[in-house]
Amino acid sequence: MTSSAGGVPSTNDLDPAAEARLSSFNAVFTLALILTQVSSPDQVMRLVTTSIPSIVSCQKALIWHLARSGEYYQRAPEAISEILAQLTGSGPLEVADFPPSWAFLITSPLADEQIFLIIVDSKALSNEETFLLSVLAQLSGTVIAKLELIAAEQSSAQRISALNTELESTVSTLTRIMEVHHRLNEIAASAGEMGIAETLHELTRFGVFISDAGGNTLAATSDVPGDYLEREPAEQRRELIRRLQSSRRPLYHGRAWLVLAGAEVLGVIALVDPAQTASEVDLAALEYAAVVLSVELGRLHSVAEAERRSRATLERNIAQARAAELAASEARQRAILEAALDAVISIDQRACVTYVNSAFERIFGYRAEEVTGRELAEAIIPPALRDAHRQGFARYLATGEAHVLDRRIELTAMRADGSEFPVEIAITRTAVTGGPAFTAYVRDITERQRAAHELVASRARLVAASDAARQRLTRDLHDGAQQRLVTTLINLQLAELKWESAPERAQELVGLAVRDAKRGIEDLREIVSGIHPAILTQRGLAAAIDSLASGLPIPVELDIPDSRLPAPVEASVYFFCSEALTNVVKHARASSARVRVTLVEDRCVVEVGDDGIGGARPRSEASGLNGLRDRIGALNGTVDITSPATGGTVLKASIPLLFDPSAYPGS
Amino acid sequence: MALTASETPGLGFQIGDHVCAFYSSSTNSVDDIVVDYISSGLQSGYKCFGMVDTPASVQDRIPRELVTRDGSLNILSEDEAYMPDGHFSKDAFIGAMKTMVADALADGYDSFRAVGDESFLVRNGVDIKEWFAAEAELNAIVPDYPHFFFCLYDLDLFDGDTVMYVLKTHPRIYVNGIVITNPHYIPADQVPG
Repeated sequence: MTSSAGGVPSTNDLDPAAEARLSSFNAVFTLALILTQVSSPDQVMRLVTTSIPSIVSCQKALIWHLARSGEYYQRAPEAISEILAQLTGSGPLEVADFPPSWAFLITSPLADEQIFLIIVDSKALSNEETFLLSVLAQLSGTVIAKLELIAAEQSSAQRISALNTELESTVSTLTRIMEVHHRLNEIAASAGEMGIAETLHELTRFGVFISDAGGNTLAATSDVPGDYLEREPAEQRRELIRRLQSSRRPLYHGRAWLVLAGAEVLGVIALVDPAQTASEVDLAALEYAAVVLSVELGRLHSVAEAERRSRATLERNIAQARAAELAASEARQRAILEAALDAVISIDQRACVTYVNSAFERIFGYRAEEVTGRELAEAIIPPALRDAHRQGFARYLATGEAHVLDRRIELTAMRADGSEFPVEIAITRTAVTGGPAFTAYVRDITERQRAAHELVASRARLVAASDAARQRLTRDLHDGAQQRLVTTLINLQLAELKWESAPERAQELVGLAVRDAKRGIEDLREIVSGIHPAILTQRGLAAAIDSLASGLPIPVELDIPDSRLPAPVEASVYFFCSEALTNVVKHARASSARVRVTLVEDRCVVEVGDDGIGGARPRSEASGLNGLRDRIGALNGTVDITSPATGGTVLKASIPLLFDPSAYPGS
Repeated sequence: MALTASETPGLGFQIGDHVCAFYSSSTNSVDDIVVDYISSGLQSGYKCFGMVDTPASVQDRIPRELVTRDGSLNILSEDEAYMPDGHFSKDAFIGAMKTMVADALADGYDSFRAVGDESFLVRNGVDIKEWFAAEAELNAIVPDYPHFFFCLYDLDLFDGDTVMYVLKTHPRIYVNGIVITNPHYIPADQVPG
C-alpha cells in the first residue's frame, strides 16, 4: 500500500471487489461530507440521485413522494404508494410493469412527510451497497431536516428581520410623527395661521398655504407659486369643500394635498406637491397641522364671536338702558304733565291734537280719546276765533313768522260743552322727526280774572267807603261838633256883648256856651271813636270790644285773648266785630250774641255769632258785609257767612298774621 | 453554506495542495472565498492568480497594501484563463499552469497560489472528461513546484455524477472551513482504464 501526497491509502493491495466496496464507501462518505454543504433539500436530492449511479450498480436513482411531485422528486405511482406507505427503513419493490427496484425511506422529521430513495433496476445491489444506500438515505433525510430547519430559521429570521424593518420603519415614522406633533403643539397656541404654515413647511419642506372656506388666502409660505393662491370660482370651491368633507385622508387636488381645518369648514390647509412625492409622515404632518389650524381658527372664531356677542350685548344693554331712560323720561315727563294744573296740548304740523294731559280733560271737559287726532281749532277755539287761528298757523308754517310762540297771551277758549272761558296760553315749538310740533300750556284764568275784577270792585268800594266816611265825618262835624262849637262861639260872643249890659244873660249865655262846648267835645269824641277808637290803641282788642259790647242793648259773650296783635289786624277785627254786632242789633232780632277771637297758627280767626232769625244776605254792593270783606280782603283775609234760615248767624273772618304791611293803606 | 478560506495557509492548506471546494451560487458568492484565499496568499508573499467570472469584483476587494509587487496579483476571467484560444485545451491549460508556477519561482516568489471557478465548464460545454483529465494532471505538478491549486465547483450547476469526478481528481477537499484529505480521491495512475 502506498500513500499519495494527501495521505490517501492506496488500494493497490486490495482485490478488485474489496477495492470496489472501499471506493463505494469512500464515495458515500465523501458525498455525505459534500451534502453538509448543500443549500436546499432539492439540491440534496439532485446530488444524491445523480451521484448514486457512479457509486453503485443501478440503472438510475430517483426520489418518490407519496403525495406530490417536485423539481427533483416525483409522486409515487398509485400502485406503489401503498407498498411504500407500509415500508419501514428499506426494502425491495417488485411491482408489475416496473423494474425491480429497491426503496430507501428518507424521512424528514420536520416536514413529517415520507419520501423515498428509489434505486431502479437494483438487481445487482450487494448487501454492502444496500447498507451504504440506507446510510445515504438516512443521511440525506438528516441533511434535508437540517436544511428545512435552517430554512425555517431563515424564514423566521427573515420574517423577524422584515418585522424589525417594518417596526423600525413604523418607529421611525411614529418618531417623526411625534416630532411633528410636538413641534406643532409648541406653536399651536401662539403662532397663528402664518406660524402654522411656516412650521409645517419646516417639517415637510413643501410649500404651504392656508385659505378660508371661501378660498381667500389666510397665510402662505414664500415658496408657494402665485397661481396656487388664485381663488377658484365659488361653485368649484363648494364642490371641493364637499369632497374634502367626505374624504378621510388628504385630498390631492390642483397639484397640492388639501385637508379641511375644522368640522365646520373653518379653513383649508394645503401642501404644495406638484410631483406627488409627499410621504406618509408629510401627510400626517399636514393632517395634524389641520387639527392645530382648526383649533387656531376656532379660537379666533370664538374670540370674534365673543366680541361680537359682547358688542351686541353691550349695544343691546345700551339700547335697553336708553329705552328705559327714555321711557322713564317720558314717564316722568308724562307724570309731570299729568300732575300739572295747567292743560297741556300737543299738536302736529297739521294742527291736529296728538296729546292732552289730565288737566286738559278737567279744564276743557274732554276725554283724551275724544280730542286726540282732531283739529285743535275745532275742539277748543270758539267759532269766532277759529279762522284767525287757522290763518295764523298757516302763516307760521309758510313763513316762520310767529306772533304767539314762546310768550304768554290771554285768549278765550271753548270747553267741550261750547262754553267759553278765559285762558292764559303759552305755545312752544318742539323739534321732532316728521316736521314741527307744538305744545300749548293752557291755564284757566277764569278765577284769576274774577279775583282781579273783585279786587277792582273792592278797591272801588274802599274808595267809596272812604269817601262816604269822609262825607259822614264832614257831615257829622258840620252837623254836630261844628254846630256845637259854632253855637258855643255865638253864645260866648253874645255873652261878651251882654257881659256888661246884662251880666245875667251873659252868665246864662256862658253857661249855654259851656254846655255846647261839652256837647261838641262829646260829639268829637264820638266821631273820633268811630274813626279809630283810642281804647283799641291804648288797651288792646279785648278791652276795645268789651267797651263796644257794653253799649249794646243785648248781652254779648266775649272770648278774646289779651295778647296784642298787629295794629292793622286789631283794627280790622275791631271794625269787623263792630259791624257784625251792629247788624245783629239791627237785623237779627237776637237775644244774645257772642264774639270769639282765636289765633290758629299764623292766622287770626274771628267769629261773631247770634241766636237770631238767620237767613242773612248782603243786600247790595254797598252793604256793610261787603265793606267787611273789602277791609278783611285788604289784609289777604277771607270772610264767610253762615246764616241758615232755621236761625242763627255766624260771621267768620280769617286774617293772616304775616301780611305785607305795605298792602294795607292804613298800616 | 459558509465558504471562507483560512486566514493562514497553515490551517489545512499545504504547499502542493490541489484542493476542491463546493459552493452554492444561489446562496453564496464565490468571490468571497476567492478574495479571502488570494488575500491570505498575498500576505504570505506568494504570487496569486485568479480565474473568476468577474475579475473586477474580486480585484476591487483586494486590499491595495497587499499588492506589494507588480505582477504579484493576476486575475483573469474564466474564459481568458481557461480558454485563451476560444476553447479549452488540457495541454494548453496544464502548460500555462506550469509556466506560471515556474515564472513565479523565477521572479523570486516563494510560492504560487491559483484559484479557479469552474463554472465555465457548464457555460461553455467543455468536454468534462478532458477537463477532469486536466484536473488529474495538475496533481502531477506537485512534486516539481511549491503551489496551491484551489478549484471551486458550484453545486447549483454540477450534478452528483460530476461531483464524483471532482472528488476522484482532487486529493484534498475544503469542507466546512477546513481542508481535509479526500477519501474518494483516486490518483491518476490508479484510475481504471
